[in-house]
Amino acid sequence: MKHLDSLPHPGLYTFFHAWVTLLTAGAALWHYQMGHFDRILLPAALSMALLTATLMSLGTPSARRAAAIITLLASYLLCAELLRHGEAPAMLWLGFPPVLTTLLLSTRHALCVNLLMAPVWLLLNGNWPSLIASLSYLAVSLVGALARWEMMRQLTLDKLTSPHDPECDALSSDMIAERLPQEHKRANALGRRLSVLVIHLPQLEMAHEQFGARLRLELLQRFCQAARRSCRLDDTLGRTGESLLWMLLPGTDENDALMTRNRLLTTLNDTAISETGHLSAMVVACTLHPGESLPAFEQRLRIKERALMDSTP
Amino acid sequence: MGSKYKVGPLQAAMLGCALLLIMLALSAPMLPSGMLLVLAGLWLTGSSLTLKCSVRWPSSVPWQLLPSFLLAGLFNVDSEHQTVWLWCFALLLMLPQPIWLMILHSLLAGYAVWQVQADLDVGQTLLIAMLLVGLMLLGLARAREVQSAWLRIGRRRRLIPGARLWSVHQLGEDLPREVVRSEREGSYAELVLIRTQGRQFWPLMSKLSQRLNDYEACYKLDNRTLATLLISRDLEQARERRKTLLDDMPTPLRSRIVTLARPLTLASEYQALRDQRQPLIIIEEG
Repeated sequence: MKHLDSLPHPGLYTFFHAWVTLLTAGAALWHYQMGHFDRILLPAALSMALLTATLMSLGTPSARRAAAIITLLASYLLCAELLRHGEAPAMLWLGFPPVLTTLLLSTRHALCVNLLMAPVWLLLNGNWPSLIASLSYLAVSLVGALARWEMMRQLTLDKLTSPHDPECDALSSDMIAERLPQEHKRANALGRRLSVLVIHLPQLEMAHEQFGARLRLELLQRFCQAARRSCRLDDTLGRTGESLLWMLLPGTDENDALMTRNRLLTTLNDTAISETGHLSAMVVACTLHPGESLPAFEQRLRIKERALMDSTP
Repeated sequence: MGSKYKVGPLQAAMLGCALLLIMLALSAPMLPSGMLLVLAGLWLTGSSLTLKCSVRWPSSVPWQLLPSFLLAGLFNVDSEHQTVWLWCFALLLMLPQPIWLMILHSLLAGYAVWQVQADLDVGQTLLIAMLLVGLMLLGLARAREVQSAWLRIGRRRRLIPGARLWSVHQLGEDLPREVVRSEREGSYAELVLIRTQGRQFWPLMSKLSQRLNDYEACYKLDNRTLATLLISRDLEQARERRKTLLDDMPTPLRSRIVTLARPLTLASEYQALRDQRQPLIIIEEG
């Protein structure tokens, strides 16, 4: 489920780190004003660490994760210092660390860290913790995990209920895997033909390496547009892999499938893209034999896919 | 299918959390706050038990109001002992929700801080308020991607993961496609509209999808109306299938079956079904 843990909004995320840095620096100044000179060192030193975290939060995803860990550790220390001094209401500060952990780390890590840190927070002020304090801490940690789980549930639900591929105007791989058996069954039940065009776009990987993600996406979308123009309304285009697509052609025999293939290749030839010239695709037509079972047909399609991938230089 | 819609672990966590809340309620120093905690526990228990069905409900139901009000209620009745919950307002902002709810959460968080500050000095109040603002912003930052996913779920095509139940929007696309296709193939396709009572909807839907072929799907037109495209080899097979399809369905039922061979629009057929007095109308040829 890790891939479903979303990255936070970059601007707000950096703003949060900057905000905590300012607060920590402010705390140091506050202690100076109040004359608590012995308490200045910790916030002053930590505000430097937090400043680093703020700058790191502008960087790559791994730098952002590291920034989260620095901010988390710094906040833990500050919170421990507050609790240790006993001037703040202990119950109020007890809720802070689990919530911060939940917001900064991924769901599973956050829950583990919260449970592992439970004895530390509960025993920090030197007394044996009350039942209410322990229960409250556990409840807040678990409530945080529930909120994150709910978010993940929504992301899964979105993925499972949208038939379209997130990147282009084609069906998603789950959906096309569901559609092929349906078409196979329909072809058998009504006694119709079924053909599938197996399509490989060799330019995608090259475009990604040389020109970046934007051109890869444009190639993919331009291909789907061209494919839509060259097929009938009731043909289905779906994505089965990074650079692989299937076009299901119901009621189509081998000759018609080859004609569709040629029409598609001609349309692609006319599609100009400034960086790569025209769009190129490798297309193989595959027709369902009478009486062929679904696993056999699907395996034939997979073999064609692999052959197309292997034949690319 | 790569991933499945699993709710088991979430359900267990919700029940565990409900148990914790009820234990907290039993040891709460004051009665009103204890009752609020019990309420929260019951709510979590209830929603964990209905989690499987919850995909059937519209995602726009603002259930986030309930935890928000419960939190604010805790600070209203017993701000002295329940301070630990203050930071949970930041967790609330992480959830996908409409903007007015986010504003409401922020206002209620402000109220909670106001309630808490009676026991604190100025410096601490300032620190707590500022930290809470920071955490709430972080919660908003987390919410970004889920927010757009949640908006997409609101107008999703497939209504329940794994089931062949689609939205009316999808039928609007599938209908012209099927008209073209069945004409080319020479198959006999019909639009079937079935209207029943609100509480019969889900039994009807499960019965209907059992009787459909794999390549046919159900569409939900509204809370009482289901549609499907029935595809048969020829008129004779269609007549047979109609009989088995509508046999022994939960009553009362009003259905309308129209061949796709004659020009039709979904809107006019839907209206005709609503106006129709007879329980069954079949239109075979134009």
